[in-house]
Amino acid sequence: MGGVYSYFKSLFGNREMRILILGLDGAGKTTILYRLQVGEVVTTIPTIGFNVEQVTYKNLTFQVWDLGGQTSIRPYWRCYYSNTDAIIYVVDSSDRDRIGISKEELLAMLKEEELRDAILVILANKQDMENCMSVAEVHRALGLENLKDRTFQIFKTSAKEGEGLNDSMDWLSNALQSKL
Amino acid sequence: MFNNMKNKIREKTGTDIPKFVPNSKLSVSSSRQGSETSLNSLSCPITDVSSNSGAVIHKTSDFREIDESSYNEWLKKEEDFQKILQEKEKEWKRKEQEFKDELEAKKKELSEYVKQVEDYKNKIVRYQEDKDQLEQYQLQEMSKIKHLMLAKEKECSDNAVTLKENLALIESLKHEVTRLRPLEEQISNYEDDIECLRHSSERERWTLSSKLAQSEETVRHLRDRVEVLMKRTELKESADGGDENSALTALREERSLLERRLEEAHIHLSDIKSSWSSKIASLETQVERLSRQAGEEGAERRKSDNLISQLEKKFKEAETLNEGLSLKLDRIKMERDSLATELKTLTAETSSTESDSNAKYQEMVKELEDLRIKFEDSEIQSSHTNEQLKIDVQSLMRSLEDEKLKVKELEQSLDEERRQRDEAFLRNAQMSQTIQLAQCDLRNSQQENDDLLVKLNQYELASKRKNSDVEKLTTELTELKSQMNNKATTSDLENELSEKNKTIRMLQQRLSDLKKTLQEELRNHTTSNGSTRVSPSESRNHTSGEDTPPVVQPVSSSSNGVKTSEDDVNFKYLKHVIIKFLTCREYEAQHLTRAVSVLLRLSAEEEQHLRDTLDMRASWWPSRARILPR
Repeated sequence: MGGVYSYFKSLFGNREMRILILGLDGAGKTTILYRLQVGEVVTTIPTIGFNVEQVTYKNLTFQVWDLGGQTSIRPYWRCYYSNTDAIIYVVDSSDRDRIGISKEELLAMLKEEELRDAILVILANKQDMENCMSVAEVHRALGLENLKDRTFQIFKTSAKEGEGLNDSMDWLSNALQSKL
Repeated sequence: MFNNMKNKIREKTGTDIPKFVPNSKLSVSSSRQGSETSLNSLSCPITDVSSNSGAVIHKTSDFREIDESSYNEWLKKEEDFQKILQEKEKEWKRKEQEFKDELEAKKKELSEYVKQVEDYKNKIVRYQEDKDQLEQYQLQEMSKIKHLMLAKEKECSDNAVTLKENLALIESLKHEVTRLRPLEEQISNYEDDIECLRHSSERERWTLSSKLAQSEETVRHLRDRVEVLMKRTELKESADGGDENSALTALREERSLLERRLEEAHIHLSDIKSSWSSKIASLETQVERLSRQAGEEGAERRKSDNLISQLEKKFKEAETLNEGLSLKLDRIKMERDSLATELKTLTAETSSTESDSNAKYQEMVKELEDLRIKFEDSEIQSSHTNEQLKIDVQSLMRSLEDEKLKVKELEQSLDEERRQRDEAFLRNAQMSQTIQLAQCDLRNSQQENDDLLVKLNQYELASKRKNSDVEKLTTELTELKSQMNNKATTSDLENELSEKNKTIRMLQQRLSDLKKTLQEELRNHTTSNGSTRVSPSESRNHTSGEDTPPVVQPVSSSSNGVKTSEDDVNFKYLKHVIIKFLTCREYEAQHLTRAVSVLLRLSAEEEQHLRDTLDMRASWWPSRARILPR
């Protein structure tokens, strides 16, 4: 029954999960997007604009938007918030200087009404780097302990090594399915 | 009332009032006396006189001796009495009025009672009608029952008649049977006689026929004898004439003849025997037939016996039926009696029920009255309450309408508010964006400012230094001037001085220029919200970290060297978004409209237009929007 339903849904329903990948510039958003899509590390250039790809993970189709994270184009993030099911917020664990800015951006984003129901996944990326912050440190630095009324989870990842991405996507797909 | 009067009079006069009849006499006498004495006494009213008759009598009798003073006293008293009289009259009138009022009230009550009584009368008439109806129904019922009884009686009589008929039939059948019994015996006797006669006649006939056969036989035998003897005689005559042989042959012939005859006789005998046997057979058949006849007769007799027994049985049945019918008749009679008694009881009951119903009827009337009164009260109350409720309802309806109107107004205002809110949201978003941009710019400009201030300070310091130098130089110049009066070097020094002054002026000019630009920058940041002008140093810092290969360098950016790199990022972003918007799927394009409208600073109408066209493109049917160029 459910299979038939999903089949019909796949036939008629144009509705695929819409996911935004956000974060400061150089956090590794584009690398994570293509790691998810093709499973390989691609060399990237700073994204001025955005990348959008269809990612299929465990029979679920996501439309993943990777928005450029440079300071001058960060204000344009809000143009993409409507109808978003989940947000993947990527943090550069090795960039201790700008973690404060990252926190500010995260909090500003979470205040948006359009993202009230969106599920949040935080990726503490670049865990392969030496002298990087641990997950707990990132958690503390982002002030996630104050984050209530939000389905969210933090994962330590390394887009370069491909570590932790499957765990986060497992959790995200489960959360999205339970939300339906 | 009169008693009251009397009591009052008694109180006034102190004497009891004598009977009325002597009073009148007294009054008459007093008036006569008054006419005799003076006219003043006539002014005293008769009633007064009558009421105070006792005193008057004495006074009138002594009137002649009364002087002026006493006369005055009299007058006073008279006035008093008149006053009292007037008061009394007033009292009387008042009391009369009260009495009238009471009477009217009583009259009203009585008229109400009369009305009620009329109502009751009407009700009684109605109930009487009902009662009559009930009696009619009862009579109808009684007549029905009587009719049924009559029908039953008729049925009973019919049954009795049929019973009598049946009995008569049974009697006639019995007679028949008795009559037929001796005849039967006679018939059997006659039949027996007939049988005997037949037998005897047949026996006789047989004997006679046998005798006839014997005689015929003897005749034939004799004839043969005769023939034989004739032949012998012929032979003897011939023998007499012939020899012995011839005699012998004759004898032989004779013997053969005789033998022949014997044979013939044998044959004849056998024939007779056969005939006899046939006769015997026929006789036997006859006997059989007779015996059969006898059997048939016996069967007939048996049949008749059976018939008799059946008839007897029928008779018995008829008797039993008769008895049953008589029993039924008795029963029906009993039933009739019982029905009659029931009828009587019913009539009694009806009478009793009538009386009961009358009593009930009266009770009902009472109850009805009570109920009516209650009903009227309740009606009045309900009418009151109804009116109140109606008024309430009307007021509520009015308030409801008002409320509806208010609600409509509120809805309209709500819609407006929503629209305004949406607009405000949009504006807010734009504003926040611009504010953010402006904040960024502000930060940059602040840095710039700081830099400029630092530079300014440096310049100021330099200018101060120059000024101090100039001062030093001037002092030196003065010293030199003082030291050397006429020297060619002075002119050189003066030249130098003028040059220095020029440089100072240039420096001051630059300083003022820098100040002006700084002020302009500050003004720009405060007034223009969304302008993304960033100071060159900041933007340069920005671009220094990025190694984006410039695809297309905008012409304007190259001409306006200050904003080049910043515009480069924005321009690139715009370009990227537009290209994606133009190339991507419609579903993604719908998500991009917002970004495009923000980037191109489209108005709400333009953005809506963009969305509509995209929706139309996304729909299954291609629309006219493609044809209409815009």
